[in-house]
Amino acid sequence: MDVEAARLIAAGIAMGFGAIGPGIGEGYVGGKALETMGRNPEAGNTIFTKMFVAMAVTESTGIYALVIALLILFG
Amino acid sequence: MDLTITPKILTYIAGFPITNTFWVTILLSILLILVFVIGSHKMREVPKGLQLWLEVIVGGTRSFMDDATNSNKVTNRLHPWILTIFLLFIVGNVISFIPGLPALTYNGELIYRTATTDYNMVFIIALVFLIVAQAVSITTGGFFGYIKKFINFRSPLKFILAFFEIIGEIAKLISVSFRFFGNAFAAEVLLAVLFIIFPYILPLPFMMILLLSSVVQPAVFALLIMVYIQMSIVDKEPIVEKNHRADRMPDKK
Repeated sequence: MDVEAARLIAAGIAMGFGAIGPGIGEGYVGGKALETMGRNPEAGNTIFTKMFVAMAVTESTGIYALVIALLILFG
Repeated sequence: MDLTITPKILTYIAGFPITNTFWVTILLSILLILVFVIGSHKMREVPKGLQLWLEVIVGGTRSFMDDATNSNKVTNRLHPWILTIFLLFIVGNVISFIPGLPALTYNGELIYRTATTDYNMVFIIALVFLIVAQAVSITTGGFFGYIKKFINFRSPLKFILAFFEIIGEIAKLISVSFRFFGNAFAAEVLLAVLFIIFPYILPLPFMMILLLSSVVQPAVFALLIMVYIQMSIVDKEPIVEKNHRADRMPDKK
């Protein structure tokens, strides 16, 4: 296998596996936040803000995988 | 594909390399300053036109931040600063949706490149804010309190935990800057790939999503920075809360 092919495969693997965790995590965060908002609509604003921060933190591993994949591809 | 992680150097001014993202950033700053100066040039009691919209932006973000920090003093100090970075990032992201910008070239290099796709810029801004967080920690908790957080010889476990605290601070910097840069650069790559697959039609729905994410990501960046700075405040005496919101918190049962 030449280097170029190995790089493409590596980028694909990095992104594919890296997307699993954040996918599960963000779904969980969003679902829980909606559940709470449905139960207590007045608290919606505060929960929405906190949900965004939690989502951003959850997402970060996915973004790291993305940056690594991009570095492999274009670096 | 004409995509690289590092920005292209257009020219040198006195040995200082001028990259395409650099001058775009400077231009954005000048643009923002001009808009705000013109908007606040003749302040009226009843706002109209540009002043109205600027007041919507400033007032809206202020009340949002007031909700999140729950303290008028912290909001007063942080708001103008974080709003500036938020606006710089949001305008830098959104301006890339103007068509025709990637067609401009100079000496065979692209003149325009979205300012936020340069890791240097995002990294430096995140670094500045995290240094501020450390400074806040020192000024509120005292210098020795700050040192004690990182070096602790009381027990082996505490020593290791304090060591992890150092790693945590560096990880914050990397995570905040990587998150923003990753999103902005991935948007460019995604559009470039989609333009190859099916030009004109296929990128359109994705551009809508990218428009949303280019607004949300600066908000998340600003919010996270705010949370980090707020977390680094060591409260010896509890902060006087302007509006206590215990009555509006979700009922935990």
